Amino acid sequence: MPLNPDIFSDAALRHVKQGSTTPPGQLSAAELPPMAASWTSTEKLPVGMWKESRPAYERGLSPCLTHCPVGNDVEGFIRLLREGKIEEAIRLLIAENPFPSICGRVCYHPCESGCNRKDLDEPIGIRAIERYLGDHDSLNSSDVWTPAHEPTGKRIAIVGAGPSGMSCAWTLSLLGHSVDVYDQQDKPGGLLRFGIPSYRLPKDVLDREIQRLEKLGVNFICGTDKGQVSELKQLLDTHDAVFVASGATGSRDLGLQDVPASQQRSAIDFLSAIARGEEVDVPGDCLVIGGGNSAIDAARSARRFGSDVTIVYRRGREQMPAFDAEIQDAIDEGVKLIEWAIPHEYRIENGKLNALTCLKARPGEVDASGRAKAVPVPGSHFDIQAGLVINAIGEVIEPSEVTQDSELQSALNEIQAWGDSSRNALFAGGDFAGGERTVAHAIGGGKRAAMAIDRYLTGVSGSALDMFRVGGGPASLSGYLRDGNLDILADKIRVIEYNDLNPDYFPHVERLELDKLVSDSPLADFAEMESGLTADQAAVEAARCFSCGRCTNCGLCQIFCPEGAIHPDQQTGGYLVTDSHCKGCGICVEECPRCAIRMEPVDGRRD
Amino acid sequence: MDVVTERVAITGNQALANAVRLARTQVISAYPITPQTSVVEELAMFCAKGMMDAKFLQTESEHSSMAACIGAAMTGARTFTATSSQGLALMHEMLHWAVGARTPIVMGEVNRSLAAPWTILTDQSDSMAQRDTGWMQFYCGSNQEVFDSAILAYKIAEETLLPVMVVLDAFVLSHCVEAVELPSQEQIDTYLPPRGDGIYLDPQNPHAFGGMMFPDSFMEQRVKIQQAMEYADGLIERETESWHKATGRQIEPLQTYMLEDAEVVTVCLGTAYGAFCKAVDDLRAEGVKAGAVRMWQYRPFPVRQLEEQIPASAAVGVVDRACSFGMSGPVGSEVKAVLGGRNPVYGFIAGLGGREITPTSAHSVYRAMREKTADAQGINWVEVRS
Repeated sequence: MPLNPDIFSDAALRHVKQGSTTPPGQLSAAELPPMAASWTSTEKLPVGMWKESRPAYERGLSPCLTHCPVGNDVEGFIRLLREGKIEEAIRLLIAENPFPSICGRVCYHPCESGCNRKDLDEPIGIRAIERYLGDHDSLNSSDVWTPAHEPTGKRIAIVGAGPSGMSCAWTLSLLGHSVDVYDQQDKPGGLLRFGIPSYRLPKDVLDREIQRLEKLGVNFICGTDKGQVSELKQLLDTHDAVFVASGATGSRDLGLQDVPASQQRSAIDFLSAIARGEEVDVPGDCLVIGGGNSAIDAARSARRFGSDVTIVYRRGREQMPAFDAEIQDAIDEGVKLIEWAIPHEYRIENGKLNALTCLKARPGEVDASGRAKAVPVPGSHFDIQAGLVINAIGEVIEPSEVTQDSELQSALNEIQAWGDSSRNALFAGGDFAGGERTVAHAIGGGKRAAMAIDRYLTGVSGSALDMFRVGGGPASLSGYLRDGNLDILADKIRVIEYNDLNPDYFPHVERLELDKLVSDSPLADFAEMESGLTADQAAVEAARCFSCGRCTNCGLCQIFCPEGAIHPDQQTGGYLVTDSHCKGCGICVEECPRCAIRMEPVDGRRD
Repeated sequence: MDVVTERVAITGNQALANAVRLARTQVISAYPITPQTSVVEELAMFCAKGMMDAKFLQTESEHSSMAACIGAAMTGARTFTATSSQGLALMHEMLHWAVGARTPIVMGEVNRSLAAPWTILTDQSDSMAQRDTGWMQFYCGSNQEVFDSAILAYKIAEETLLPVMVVLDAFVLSHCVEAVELPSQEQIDTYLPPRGDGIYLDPQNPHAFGGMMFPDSFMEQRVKIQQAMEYADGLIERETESWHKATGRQIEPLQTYMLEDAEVVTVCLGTAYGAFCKAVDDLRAEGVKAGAVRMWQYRPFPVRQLEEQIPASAAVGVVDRACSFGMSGPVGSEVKAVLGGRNPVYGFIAGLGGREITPTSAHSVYRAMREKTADAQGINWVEVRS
């Protein structure tokens, strides 16, 4: 294009384009450029001397990491999936959790409750992504699992092949120890096999995950008799350490009069009978007493036998310990829920139970659990038809199941945060550890105990184990294997909140809702109810993740830097700030979508 | 390049948006305001559908829209924004900056009166209030001219490094449908190549722009803006001619009707011209030697064209659609400054706040001059109730 010669004359542009030391006032008008422009590159201006603070790229912690009881690097595996690095995503996931297909189905996903995205639209479907990665062919076609450490020659006994015991076994094996896992049942899995119904966790999925442990060399000894191989005292003699995770196997008693055994069962007993494939007699009217997850599992299982099922709970739905989504699933499947009803007595005719008499209740004072107490309303008796009552008012741990030694029993009653007890070489986890009784907590506790056992066996003091907690919370095996050299471990690391983020960069995208598999007669069998994500769906869901606190090389800091002082760092893959030109304006920090940069005072410089 | 590829029935706002699309504009930054909104809505749709490869920014205010255009233009990008009335007023500070930084931004300015009282209808008070910012202003008379003006605007802006407002009457042009000929992309590409060389923001060779300029050179910089305006005056003449050759359509910087022997002449801007032409026809039928002028090019002011084309002894009535309160209509006082030494020049103000300027209004202007009832010094208000 022909340009206005007066504006674009060489004389007018030379001083800007080629640099000059001539003051503008000494130039002829024709030599002046058309607009005010510096003679030299702004790189000549060391505006870095102006600053009182400077940006520092510092990883913040996604709340999903601190909310995961297992210690999964949730943001990490989602980010890798988003980048198309599926093998790496799976490796990162399995590094902390040997059971992604299990957790991807049954975990109550506290990570999603912590997800910052809930404040924009809806949390990331983390559990669905975990399941997608856990079910991925490339994970399950892998035949060989190699321990991270050389064999140590130490042998550890684990009592109970439930989620906690198996997690501990996996971790110890990775650390180079030999592991014997004892279980009274004829197959490993514990609650995962005999408690959780297969419509939530299919047995082949469970078997596949357990095989991974076997491939790593875990020795399962199943079908042991009580007090025989699994007597604690004996195991302590034959092994370098023992981890007890035999679970809460006892049921609380309803405290009502006896009814024929065939008409009253505990939820554990009922569910494990189904899991074992035993003939289970489920009459037309079935009552489930209780409000926990076992109650829901028992109710939905009974429903699958064609029974009319009613859950009776002394408080209201809001006070039920069961996860609300599962309560809703049960209701959607036709399970009735009677709230604020206290079982009073059985109606038995001709030696046969035919109803349960309940008292209506009203909400009373708030108790220690923060929930309203159920206060019986006098004279409000009413009957509910029942051919079978399933008692699901809670499970209790019974140390006597594993040892008759009173000293050991009392040691098992006081388990510390890392699974250690007052007795040398004795560790415990799962339900024995107290706290929340979830699969995720059990897996996390098993991992913690394995790290504590490793510390104990290798003679290093266990007191420093807390340095391997992610943001002061769940334990990180990766961090332990790297001797703390992992950026998510620092106890001063910031947990990123929604207000720290720059939501302008995140458009609303609806969360993928998983399809419930519905056939013509959905309840006729125990087939899995929920479908998994397709590869495309997983990619869409992963793309929703903010990657809170994590630099994803989006380049916005570089784009927005008014001094051009930010450049990609070829060595680290991150960014370098040119100190001489960063004037400390903080625009990079303001713009960073995910709060991966913060300003620090110049005086606080690390150099 | 004389083949018309498409003849479509579109509004003035759509004509403007299509010109911006065919100009391969790279950055569009805008904030919605009636009656401009449908310009940028159309452009947003073009971007969303991939019909143009541009970055579309909806900013939080017109001030920011203009700031974004300035920043984008300084990187060498072809830029566009559109606004009206209060939005243009809010841009005011940045309008000066755009000129001082010599950014060839093109803006669609849909004339709407400034509040208060509130109105969305047309007059020229908003664009006239930006007269001294250094923006060129082209006032359009038809939807076709809106399209053609926008293409020319880019050409002229980029050669002079001055921004251009393409001005169109609210609703009369912005929202009314007319037949518009759209040249092909190839034709536009031939006429309007990408922006040429200059001094741009460049991360590889970063320069500071718009920094402090001391008294020893600030004035020279200002003189350059005026020189660019003067250069533009000749450039407009050349480019309207080359556009005429390319498309067969002539934009006349000063459009005239029956002027040669005219003894009584009106001067206006925008679509009111049609009413004055109708009155000229009526008067000519009565044997009155009337003529009419429409000023397409308002900045740079068409001094030479006025002197050359308006007969030396004719009475000239300038009909403003804005008022510089305390003085007169802005165009009227400027025409008087140019022609006052040889022509009797009368200042009229009509059509504020969307009031129609009809042939009857036009007749009243000619009559006032012919019957010598027009005030030669003060403002002659057209069709205002006493």
